[in-house]
Amino acid sequence: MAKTKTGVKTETELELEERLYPLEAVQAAAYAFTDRAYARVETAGEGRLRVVLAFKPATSAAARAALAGELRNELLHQALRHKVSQANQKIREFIVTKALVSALPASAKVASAEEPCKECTTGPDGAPGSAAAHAPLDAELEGEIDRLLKEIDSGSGADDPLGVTSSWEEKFGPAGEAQGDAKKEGAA
Amino acid sequence: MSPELVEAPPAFDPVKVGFFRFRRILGKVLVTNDLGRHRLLSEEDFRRFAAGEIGPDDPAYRALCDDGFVRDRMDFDVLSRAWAERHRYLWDGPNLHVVVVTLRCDHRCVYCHASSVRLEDRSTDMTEETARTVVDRIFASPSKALTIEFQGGEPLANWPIVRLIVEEALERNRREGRSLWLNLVTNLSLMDDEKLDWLLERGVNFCTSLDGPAQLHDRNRPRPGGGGHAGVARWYREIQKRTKRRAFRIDALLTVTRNSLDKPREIVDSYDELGARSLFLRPLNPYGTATASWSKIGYTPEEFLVFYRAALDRVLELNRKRPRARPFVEQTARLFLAKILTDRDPNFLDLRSPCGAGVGQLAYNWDGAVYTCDEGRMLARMGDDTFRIGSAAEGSYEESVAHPTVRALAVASCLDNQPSCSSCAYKPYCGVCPVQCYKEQGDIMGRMPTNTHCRINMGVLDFLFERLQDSGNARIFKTWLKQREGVVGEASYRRA
Repeated sequence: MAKTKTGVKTETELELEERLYPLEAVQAAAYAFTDRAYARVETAGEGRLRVVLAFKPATSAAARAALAGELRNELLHQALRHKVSQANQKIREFIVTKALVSALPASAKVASAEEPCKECTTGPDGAPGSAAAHAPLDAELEGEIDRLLKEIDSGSGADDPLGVTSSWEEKFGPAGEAQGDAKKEGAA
Repeated sequence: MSPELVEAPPAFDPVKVGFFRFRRILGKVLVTNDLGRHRLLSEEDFRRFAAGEIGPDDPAYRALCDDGFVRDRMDFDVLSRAWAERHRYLWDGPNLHVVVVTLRCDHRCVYCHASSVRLEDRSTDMTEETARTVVDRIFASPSKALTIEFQGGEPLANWPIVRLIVEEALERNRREGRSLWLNLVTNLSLMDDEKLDWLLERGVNFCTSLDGPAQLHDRNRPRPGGGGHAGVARWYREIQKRTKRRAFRIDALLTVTRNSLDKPREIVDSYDELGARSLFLRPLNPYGTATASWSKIGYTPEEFLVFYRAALDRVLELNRKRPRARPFVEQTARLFLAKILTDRDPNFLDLRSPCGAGVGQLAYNWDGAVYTCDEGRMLARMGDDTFRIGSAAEGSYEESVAHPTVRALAVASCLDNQPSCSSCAYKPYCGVCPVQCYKEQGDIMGRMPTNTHCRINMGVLDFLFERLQDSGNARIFKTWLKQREGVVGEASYRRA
């Protein structure tokens, strides 16, 4: 802990377990004090973080003591905010996407944007399927997709040096043989 | 000395609890969400809410479900409609068009944000040719509602151009049929009966500046030869009388200086004595003369908030004496309360995300230069043209609104991109001014912990939520929301 020549503390610091206090929450907490202190966030060993607030000049002894306590509270607040935000990100994206799509003309909408993603209805641990992925197609993107589909239909993808248009069987023989080989490798 | 270790964060149930932000106010915890819905919970209820322990048998459960705070009880149709309603301005385009017809003015206000010039100096008068190109540019906006706001200087100093733009705009709108509002921001000193008749016949609204009692007003807004306050009071009464049953009207705002800080009661009472329906308490901004005179007339955000709280309490006190049908409204509070108590956003351009710069408003300087906003043109007057996005005479409307500066300001003022704002309980009610951030902090993104605008808005919102906890105050606040909005265009309460 840094002190002046007269023994007055010039900093306050806390060490935290990153498992409990993610870096984003610690940075947000430190940022909130930049009006009253110079903030620093650093690693403090495996899975640990240290946040240091160096008091700005003319900070009274009482204000310094208060800052240390406020930092602890702010860390708790930011950690909770971080959890809430993480858990609800997709559901918030879905509500906003649905609202934005509702303002578009019907021709610009896609059906999937009207339905909630699986995670929105089953909880944060459900299968992936962000509502943001269902964003409406704009005219330019639709045009690009049409162009690519026409290209495929016209067979212009014949130039295929990596063989990505060939099936597994065409490249490696009957399906049963290939699967059998894979199982063997897995068992080895 | 070994550093102190802190305990774990509070319990949170990620399956049952929807998104919320929170802030402690007077021993309670305010929770808000993206829809702007809010609940004030006791500490114990907040702990139970976050832990997912408030269930169907709890009296608070139904309201929390309806407001989108309960994750496994969300009605997506209702919630997305509420979000769209709150953010309807996203689909509107620029509807506020500030036209600076001259920088000439007969006042010498100690805080003049526009850096006006003397009345006899005609070098900054807008020409007829420029005025016509400005009207063309205004009507290039896709917005179904247009507000043309005459600013200055004192716009009446260039009366022929005010007349020309009003006539051109009305004529143009006869063909286009948009919702057109015409607002004159004036100190009223150059008003006369002939001008007033002409303006009233055409439905022009008025917004004037009134800084309080005569002595204070004339100290803040000196006019060579005197009589500033007397002139405003006379014409204010006259216009109020003649617009009593009309769809348009006059309002006044006041700019708070250091001279005002010890007179909250006198200022509020002076508006009441004038028979005003409202007053609008506005802090100083760092533009024009205010920058040079800041050491004499400036103050800290905390000093402003002490003043604001006393003034708003006096306004509430007067409301208790008035009939409920004739409330006396403080406009800063009403803008926030509309956001807090309804799903409808009043589209006040300084209090939305993103802000209105280039996407909600455009400012046209006397020479036809187009700026993202009124603040941008004020800064240009101080020698910084950063926020100029074109000219009414050259290029196109599309080039101006798609200008890289407009995009940068939209990103910078989107509160989801602001480190402090994105997690602030007041996010659904607030906004940042990137031009002010740039002026004060050298960066359009700003830094909220030291930002003046942020401190003032936080303090005002804290106070409103404190006062909302009293049912008598809450009833008064709700009567304010029944008043017709869009007086001088909700979007266009600007700095006179």
